[in-house]
Amino acid sequence: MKGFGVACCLLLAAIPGGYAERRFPPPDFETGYTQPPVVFQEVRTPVSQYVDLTLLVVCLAIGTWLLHYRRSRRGIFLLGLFAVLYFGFYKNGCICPIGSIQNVTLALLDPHYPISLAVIGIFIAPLLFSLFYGRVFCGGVCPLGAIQDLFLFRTLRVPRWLEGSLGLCRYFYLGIAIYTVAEYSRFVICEYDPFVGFFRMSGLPWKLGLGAALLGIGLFIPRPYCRYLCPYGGLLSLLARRSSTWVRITPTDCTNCTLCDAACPYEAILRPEEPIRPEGSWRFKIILASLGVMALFIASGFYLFGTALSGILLSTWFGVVIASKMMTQAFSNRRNHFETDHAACLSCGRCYEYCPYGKTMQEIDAHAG
Amino acid sequence: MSKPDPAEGRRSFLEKMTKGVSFFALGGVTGKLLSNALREEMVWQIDPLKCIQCGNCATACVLTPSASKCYHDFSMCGYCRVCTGFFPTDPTTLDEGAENQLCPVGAIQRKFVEEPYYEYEIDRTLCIGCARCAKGCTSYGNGSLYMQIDRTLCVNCNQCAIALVCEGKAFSRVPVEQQYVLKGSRMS
Ligand code: SF4
Ligand code: SF4
Ligand code: SF4
Ligand code: SF4
Repeated sequence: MKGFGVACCLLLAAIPGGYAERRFPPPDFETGYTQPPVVFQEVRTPVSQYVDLTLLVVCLAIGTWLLHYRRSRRGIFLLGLFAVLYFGFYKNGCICPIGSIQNVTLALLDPHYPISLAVIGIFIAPLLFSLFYGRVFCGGVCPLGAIQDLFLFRTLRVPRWLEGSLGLCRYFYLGIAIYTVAEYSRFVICEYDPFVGFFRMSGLPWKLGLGAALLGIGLFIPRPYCRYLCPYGGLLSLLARRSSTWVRITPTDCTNCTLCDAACPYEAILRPEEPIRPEGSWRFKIILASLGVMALFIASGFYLFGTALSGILLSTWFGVVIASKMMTQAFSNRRNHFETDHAACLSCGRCYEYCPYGKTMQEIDAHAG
Repeated sequence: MSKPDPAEGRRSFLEKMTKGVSFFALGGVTGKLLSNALREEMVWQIDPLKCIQCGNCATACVLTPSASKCYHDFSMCGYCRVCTGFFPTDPTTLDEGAENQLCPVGAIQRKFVEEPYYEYEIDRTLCIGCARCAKGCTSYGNGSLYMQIDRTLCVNCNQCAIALVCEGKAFSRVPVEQQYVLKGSRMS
């Protein structure tokens, strides 16, 4: 932003006094001295925000192309590097789609809150891409995701149930963030953003420490922020469930060689499994239990927040998140092959390189041009 | 993939429906947002009339030194004999000795104009935004020294860190076209 700086002078007209602090009138100077103007240096940024929005959309388009048509992990990696350098270190991190959740919430709740067109675009574009092409944003456009991706060292496997449960924290965080915006007009996602301090290369010690700790965890449990905390990732997940195109590990037939499963650092590949359909009575019990949980949360909402609507809604949201997770346990799908979990896949493209068929496909592509 | 399984058919119908719903929900949100959207970018700025010179500007900003700086509006200055923005309330002598300066980093330059007047100018490359001079000037003088966010330095955090702790609740977002909030221009 500093790059766009254009110095400009503002001449302050001498305006007659009128409020408390003007205690002493300026003296009559005998030497013909005149007061110099104050220089306020302006930054002209009216276009820079549109440049950023355009770059975001272009990056998303390139990411989609690299992921679904080129099937190139290296391409996605380079795109991520660009994102870290430009959206991260050059733009200092603000404003990003994750933080824009709060601007959008505030704008929806408070008609006087000014939101700029570019911010709306920055919020919507990755979501739209997710609805059609999966989480391409997370793959190589999000600077927060990409900086964590660089710190991937060894992958510890996380059991599926734990992965699923911890993933719910994203929705809790989303709820809390929206609640804080509604109640206090405060942007907690930005306040506790663990990585933005690195991009600015300054910040409070505890925040830099938090970021460093997350990157440290990320050495073994890759991208912890993305998987367990990022509220925008939660939104992207919801939409990616219905995406028209997603990461197809093999372009041809899966032979269940299990190589991709070992390649994905994010527990995003579902193994083939027989449907363990819970029997009728069990399914009924699960559904009943989840409704019970929901009722419990709504009731505790009333208990904790009295008649404050936003508090009750927050508590209800917690209930809905947990209950819907429980309900999905009551239904299961049959899978014959290894498949990506659309909601969890971060579109990094690592599995492509490991699938023996994916490789051949790349070679064919390379020969074709 | 298409199997003549009725459950499969039901599922794919459900999936199409939720997809449609998501699409229209996104569209609805966008439409609602566009209805009060602004073309300009918004940037953080201090309202100098609300600022109570609490001093949090110096420490809370994500940048070190802070992007909040003191500005001197000369047209408002009373050219006081003892400038309460420059000197502490009990100066030993009225000279530039460091012990006689209110500014902890010596960022205020005093230029002789004519007896007994001096011009006080801020060197913003030194200023750390502690607001001490602004406090002195506002409390006992004309309030011509006041705090503003230096727009060439500020990285425009989505949540300004100073705004969270500003005791005067002086921070707000202003359109980039009017990126400084001047005391003078308020008074007409
Ligand atoms: S999950 Fe969140 S932080 Fe991670 S890549 Fe996606 S948007 Fe970025
Ligand atoms: S692209 Fe493949 S390796 Fe990467 S997150 Fe998705 S499933 Fe896992
Ligand atoms: S934090 Fe607010 S009240 Fe305190 S000096 Fe800065 S602008 Fe003034
Ligand atoms: S927006 Fe950020 S950089 Fe600017 S004054 Fe506030 S904390 Fe400092």
